Amino acid sequence: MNELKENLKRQIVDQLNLKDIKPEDIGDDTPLFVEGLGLDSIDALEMIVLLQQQYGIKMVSSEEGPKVFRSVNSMAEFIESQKGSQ
Amino acid sequence: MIRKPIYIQGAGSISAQKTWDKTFLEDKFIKHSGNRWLCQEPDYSEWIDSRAIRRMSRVLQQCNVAAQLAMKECHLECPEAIIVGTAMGCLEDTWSFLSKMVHHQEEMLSPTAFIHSTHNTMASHLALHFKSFGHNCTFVHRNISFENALTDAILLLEEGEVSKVLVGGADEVTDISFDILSQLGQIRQVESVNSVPIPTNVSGWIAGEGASFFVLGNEQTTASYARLTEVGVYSGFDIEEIKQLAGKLLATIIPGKTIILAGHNGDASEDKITDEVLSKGNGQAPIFKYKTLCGEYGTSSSFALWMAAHMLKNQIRPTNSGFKLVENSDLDTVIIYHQTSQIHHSFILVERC
Repeated sequence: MNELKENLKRQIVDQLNLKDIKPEDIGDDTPLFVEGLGLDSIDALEMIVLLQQQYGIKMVSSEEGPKVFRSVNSMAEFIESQKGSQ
Repeated sequence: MIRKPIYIQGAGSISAQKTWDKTFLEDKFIKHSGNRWLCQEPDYSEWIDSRAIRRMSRVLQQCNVAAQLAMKECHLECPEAIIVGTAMGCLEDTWSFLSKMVHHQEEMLSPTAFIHSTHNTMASHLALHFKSFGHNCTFVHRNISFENALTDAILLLEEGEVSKVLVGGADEVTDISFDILSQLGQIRQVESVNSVPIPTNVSGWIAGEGASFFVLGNEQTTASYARLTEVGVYSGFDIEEIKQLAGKLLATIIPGKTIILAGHNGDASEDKITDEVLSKGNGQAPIFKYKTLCGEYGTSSSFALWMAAHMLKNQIRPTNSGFKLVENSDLDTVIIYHQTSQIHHSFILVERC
């Protein structure tokens, strides 16, 4: 799980081209949107693409988004749960 | 003929010379080597918020800072209209989007590259940045894109719809565009001699890039650079017709008071046409080949307009090494002539104000 979280942090920085942020600056529970990293709706689309490209997971319901992309922890839990269900 | 007085109230440029901080006007010209001349760039992070800059390609960053430079000069915070000319658009993002499309078999496409791959990203991203809700247009008309953007700005000002317009021209050269243009035989294949002016006895030109922006308005202020008096765009004309038009325009030259900024791009056949057209001026005005400083790109006439504005305001004249201040100078008019591919020709007249 820890390795997955570290990978996710690195992939978020790369995919979103976060210039002033290093993977280690992102806490496991840091909010990704608004008050945390300050990501926006275009970033949300990039994260959906990231999940599909890196983990083969397709987001089928837009209602899942806010919950899944709340933090690195929530993303990792979602990826793990999807692995179990596939 | 422009029916109302239109003044250049602010000017900003990022080019292969150090135009962004204006040391270009004081130092010796930068003499590039090779056949691809990239811009001398500022630290963009000092100008653009880090959250915004991460999505912007180089040409968008150049547009943004050049526009900010122009607006800062006339204390303009939000333009009433934004008009941009670009011949090739956002090539870096277009390539990124298309290559991902092929790589991922048309699935899982990154939205950022797609959004920014369209040509009208240029004017629209400036509107978002400056929170401008007015007229917004990007002209994509090959090598007369900037001239058509200028024409649109002039029409808006003449009709009194706005009092200040932000207008600019921008193009970038990327690894892919340089490679494709080289394969098409457009770019010269021999290594360019590091000199000003560039030799013109070979085939092919030198690829350049840049972004130059202007604030145009009806009012003359102490900060105004110059008055824009004519923008003529001629497409698909026979060369003899162009020579006739040029003859009428160049007949107005007053010796000693006019300089021509000419768009020779170093290609022997192209420069032959440029020389023929300008020969109608009978050598009445000195000719300076401006692309020898910025390279060839579709909207390079915007760089020439930036030069012209500063030449008229500061009464400086270009030499082969740098600008020189002429005592008791009486430079009244700069004529910019731009042509490529012998299809599109344009003249821009700028006068001292």
